[in-house]
Amino acid sequence: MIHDKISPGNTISRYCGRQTLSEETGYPTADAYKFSGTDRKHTPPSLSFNWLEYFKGKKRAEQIDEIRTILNKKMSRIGTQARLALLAVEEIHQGFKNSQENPNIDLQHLPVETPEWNDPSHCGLFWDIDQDEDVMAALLAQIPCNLVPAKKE
Amino acid sequence: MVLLQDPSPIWSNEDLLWAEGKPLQRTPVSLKKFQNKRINIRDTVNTVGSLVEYSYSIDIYEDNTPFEQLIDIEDKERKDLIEGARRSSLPYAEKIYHRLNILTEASEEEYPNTDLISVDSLYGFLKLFKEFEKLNFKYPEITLTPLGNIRIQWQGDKEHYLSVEFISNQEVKIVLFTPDNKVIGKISRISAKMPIVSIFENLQPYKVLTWITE
Repeated sequence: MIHDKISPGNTISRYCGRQTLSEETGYPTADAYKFSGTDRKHTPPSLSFNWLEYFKGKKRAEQIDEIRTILNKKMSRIGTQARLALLAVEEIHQGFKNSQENPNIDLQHLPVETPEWNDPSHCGLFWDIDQDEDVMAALLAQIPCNLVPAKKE
Repeated sequence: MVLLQDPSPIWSNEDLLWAEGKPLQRTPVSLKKFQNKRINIRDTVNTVGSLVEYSYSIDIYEDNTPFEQLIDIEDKERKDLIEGARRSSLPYAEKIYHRLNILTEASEEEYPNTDLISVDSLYGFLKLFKEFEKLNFKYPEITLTPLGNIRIQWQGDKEHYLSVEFISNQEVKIVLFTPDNKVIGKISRISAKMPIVSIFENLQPYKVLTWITE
């Protein structure tokens, strides 16, 4: 359902263009978690992710493929070396708990429908409005993640 | 120094100011005057010392809108700045050149019509390296923000992190994580906007140079 909270135990993914990945490690830097133009269109602004377990009964590889298909329709182009960062929701909560910040993060299921494409697994990460966006992005970049190619082979 | 190979009365003082490559105070110019002209300019950008020497050769046609013409000029300026970085005496000149090319390619691939590296941000980035080249920085992560600004980052460990986003050719936004000076175990997280030239003076109390330099 819309606005359902996505609980620990679930996994979400974020599209990371090559220009936001570390040259040294290949992992996302803070720029991968900065608001893009699309993120700012939400009211209030939230950081866009995809919720893998939305695709119930599918194996992990199939869930990732579903998200790749959606992104392919949604974005004008998918970079050949772009990655999907897979983050455990529990790790996000843990990461902020350890950070001594109290940004009141909230992850909500926010499916998107447009005439051109639908993104039923879309979810948004919200935090207190007084938190600095760049500090939040840097904290998110410290959370461990797994990477898979964003482009469908 | 400006050498105009095709001097013509179309150049006003205002145009020359623009052509002298003063990116910090760029003067808007009416491109209508240049239509159907080929402009050749050899230029040295004073704001970054002798770092950037480049030449333009731009054809401006009537069928291009002024906006398209401006994009062409920006594109040329961007390429010349990146090429200038390679020929410069900057630390990591070759690595920086390759990284900037990768960022440009990645940006062009994903956003063919928008979001290329901001020219002003590129000036700011090169200015920082030129201004503080004697500090002997460790090579930073160099990435692009969704707005096309260059950001450099040094990660010491989880408690030491500094990122510098070049939001214009004179100003940066920094994010600093550092152990608090007074409260043991507390990490201070700071974000601030400041002039490029003042970064390390402003950050002196946090001793960032002890872990971002060789």
